[in-house]
Amino acid sequence: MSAEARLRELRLQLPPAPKPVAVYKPVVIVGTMCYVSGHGPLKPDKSMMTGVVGREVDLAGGQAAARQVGLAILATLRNELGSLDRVKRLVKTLGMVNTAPDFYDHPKVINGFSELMRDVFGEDAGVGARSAVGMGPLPGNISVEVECIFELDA
Amino acid sequence: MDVTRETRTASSTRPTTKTSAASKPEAPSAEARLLELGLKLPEANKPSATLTPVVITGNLAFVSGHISRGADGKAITGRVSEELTVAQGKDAARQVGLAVLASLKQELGSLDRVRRVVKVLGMVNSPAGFKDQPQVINGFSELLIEVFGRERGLGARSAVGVASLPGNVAVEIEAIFEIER
Repeated sequence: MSAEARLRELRLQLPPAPKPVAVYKPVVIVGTMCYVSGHGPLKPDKSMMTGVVGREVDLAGGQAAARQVGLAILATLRNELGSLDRVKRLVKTLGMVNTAPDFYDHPKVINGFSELMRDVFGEDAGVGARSAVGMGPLPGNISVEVECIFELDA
Repeated sequence: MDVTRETRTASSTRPTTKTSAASKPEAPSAEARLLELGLKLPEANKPSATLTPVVITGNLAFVSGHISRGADGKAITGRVSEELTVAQGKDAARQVGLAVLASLKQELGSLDRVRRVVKVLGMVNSPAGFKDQPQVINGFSELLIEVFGRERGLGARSAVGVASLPGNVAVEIEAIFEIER
């Protein structure tokens, strides 16, 4: 099933494609590689999910934020590519969690993002290389930021 | 910047024959070096439902963030400069290197298929005010130089401090390698 068909089947609601907040592009394409800037957990009402995971936000809240980042990235991709069906696979993800120093479950938080990608692009194409780490403050105190690389169909 | 230029040249204008000749190792192969150095690789990480240890697209191998584990397989934990010294952090980074080599070998069959290290992101579990992240990540970079030689083992790199890491490990490193197809 195509990514666009899965999106409809899963009844996923994408937020509006986020506009860059500083001096960068949301996506740069080089050959078949698609480099996506760090995205935050943008909601359909254009607000961001904020708070330190492990302190103001619990694990489930962190996972929800990571999933919301995924939806924002899908919105950006669709905006740039016209259709998610041009995505061949997810290559690499850097997941950054806004955490208290004694929070150690970053992989579980970033799974919120990774499971969405798997659901939309499938077991093979939707699961890529990944790092999940804790960051000190993130811009605007957002709970999660993710940057990633996709490969596109030639 | 040289890395970028070289990669671009290799893939677009330079004839293939010349490319492979230029990247031929002058020294023993990586696998031979591994034996010579008596390095024992740990068991390779297993893929999970949400990540793959190595993704290959074209001639690039993207390696997931690997965490520091000792030879016994136990995680090396603690913040560098607090629970761990810089030397211990450096050793943890070297252990991450062995884990990355194990994943690469598992995916590629042989480390001799590695043409070069392209880019490394080394993340050190360290408090605000700690400045020696580069020395820590040198543990990883020096291992790659031992195995692949200076020409191919040294790539672009960033070494940074992070607020926290999974399971409170000391070091996590992700990397990109160029490989023979």
